[in-house]
Amino acid sequence: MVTLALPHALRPGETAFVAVTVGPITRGQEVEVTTADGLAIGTITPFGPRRGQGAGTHTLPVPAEAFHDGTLALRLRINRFDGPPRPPTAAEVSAVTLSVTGP
Amino acid sequence: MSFNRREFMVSTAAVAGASMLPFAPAQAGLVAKAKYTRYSATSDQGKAMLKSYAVAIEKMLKLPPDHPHNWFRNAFVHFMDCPHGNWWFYVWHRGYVGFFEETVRRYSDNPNFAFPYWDWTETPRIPNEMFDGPLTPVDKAFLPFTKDLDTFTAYAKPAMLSYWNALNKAQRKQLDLRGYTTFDLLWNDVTGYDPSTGTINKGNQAFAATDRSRYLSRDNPNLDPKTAKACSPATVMAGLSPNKFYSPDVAGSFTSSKTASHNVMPGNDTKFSVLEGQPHNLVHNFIGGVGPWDPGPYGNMTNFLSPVDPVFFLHHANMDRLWDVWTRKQQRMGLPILPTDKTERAELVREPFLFFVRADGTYVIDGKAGDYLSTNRFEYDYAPGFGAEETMQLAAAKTTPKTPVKGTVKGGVGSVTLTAAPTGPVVATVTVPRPAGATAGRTFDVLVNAPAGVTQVEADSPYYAGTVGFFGPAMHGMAHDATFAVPLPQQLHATAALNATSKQAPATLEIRLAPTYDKSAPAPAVKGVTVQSL
Repeated sequence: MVTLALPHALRPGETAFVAVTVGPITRGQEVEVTTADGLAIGTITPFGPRRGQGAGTHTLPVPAEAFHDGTLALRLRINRFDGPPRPPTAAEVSAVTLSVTGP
Repeated sequence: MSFNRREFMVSTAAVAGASMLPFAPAQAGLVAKAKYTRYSATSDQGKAMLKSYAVAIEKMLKLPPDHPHNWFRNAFVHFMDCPHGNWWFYVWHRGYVGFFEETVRRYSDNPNFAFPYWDWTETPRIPNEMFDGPLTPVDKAFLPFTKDLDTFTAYAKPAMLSYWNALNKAQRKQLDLRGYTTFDLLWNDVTGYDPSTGTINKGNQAFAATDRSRYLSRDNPNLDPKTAKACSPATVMAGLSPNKFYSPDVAGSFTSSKTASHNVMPGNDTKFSVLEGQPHNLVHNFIGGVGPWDPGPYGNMTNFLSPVDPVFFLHHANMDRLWDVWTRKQQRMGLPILPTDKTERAELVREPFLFFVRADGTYVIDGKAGDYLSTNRFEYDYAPGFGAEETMQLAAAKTTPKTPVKGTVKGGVGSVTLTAAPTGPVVATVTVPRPAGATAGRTFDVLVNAPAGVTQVEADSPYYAGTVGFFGPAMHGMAHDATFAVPLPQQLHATAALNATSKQAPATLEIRLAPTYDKSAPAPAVKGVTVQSL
């Protein structure tokens, strides 16, 4: 679970984003991002051949209703073909940041 | 920080004056009348175009493998040169799809041919016509070439090796950057062979056998819920919201990372913009069967021979359409459509693109990114799809922000004098040094025109403008400043004077900080302030 705080309440026209930095996940793995109460934020699946390199930082918009009291509680998990979903390791998801952009 | 009006006008003049850039009409919002129109694939016009497209595919499949217009040869242009995860993603694919559109126009015998776009936001399923005949790679027309890997290798590899041996130094340099220093290394990504382990990684195999070349089918055409969410109105509108072509802050950047070359493959440092990382990637992967066909082999769309699947060009026409939608939004809002910094813009436009093929069969061996910044290059426009009207409504509601008024700082207090009443919401920017030490405060209240004795305020105070805060722990030895934008609320004591401001009666706002929680802690000194009317 990751908890992030908004720098300020969202104003009209503003959008919040989470940037998720993904390490060298393999084919058949994806990073699913939801809020703690299950609201889907997005799924990350790298495109192209995987050669053991990191998958980069992926940006997902966050709807205003995902925040409670200015904070965002996120649950990240690795979905995979060869086992049940599990939390990512620190190497698989090395950073999650929150930012706000204006109109 | 957004560009102000003056900066934009300067940048427009600089760009329009650069004769090497062929997009001055579009830059000025005067788009030349297009000769061709790309329609939605679900429209009657789009469906008619798909019939022409099928005619061309049949012919291009039958061309010998060493012909520059052979269907698979064209897919290898993408395989060898496509950029992903960097700021050339849109511009390269515009050139690739544009030249190929001219080639399909030739072979389709339809002089008005233009690729239809698949608007997956409006239609989160593959258009039904894309399961007809050669519009799907599982069709029998592909079978003589893609029945299995041995068949494809015998058919395509000798021709590709001949092509490789004829490449010039500049082209080989581009391929070196991609990791293809030898032909064998290139071909390994066709087969999935991993020389470090001596095994085949089925997930990396770009080749797809006919019967597994596309996961979605006529009976199962829908994007799954996750991919559909990536294509949803909310996600696409968020992807269209950035006001800069490129920004290091990826949330505010229309494009992905700035890299040294378009052939730098995505890695640890790659930052994906919303539109590339979400709808682009997820649509590619799901059509190729990522998920249901794990761990591979996948269909064509999952790896870099994705243009073997004809739906590739409908998908990328839609990505290109969204770039066009974003460009028009920027123009309507008076914002730049390219980097405004001259050096940065030069880095963008001078990037060599050396592998495209013209409709007459000749190679474009001296191309550069700057050739493909405008749709005028290929004389097309788009029939409206999702985002066109929605962004125009946003732009119409947006007034041009006034230039920020920069203040002075003395004794840790910022001071800004205004000589005109605001015409809209007022926002102050406050530059704050992050206090050193692991236990130092992280949040501070912004006070406006508060009397000297006021050291703490509640949220309903007439001197309280807002709270600014640092996220995450302070890193040892990494002191830094941060600038926060703080909208000034109407209930401020200073608002009345602000609204009565004129040249004859200027108003001064004094801005300082106070700790939000630890009242005994020292307040950090303000290092800079501006005030701007939006």
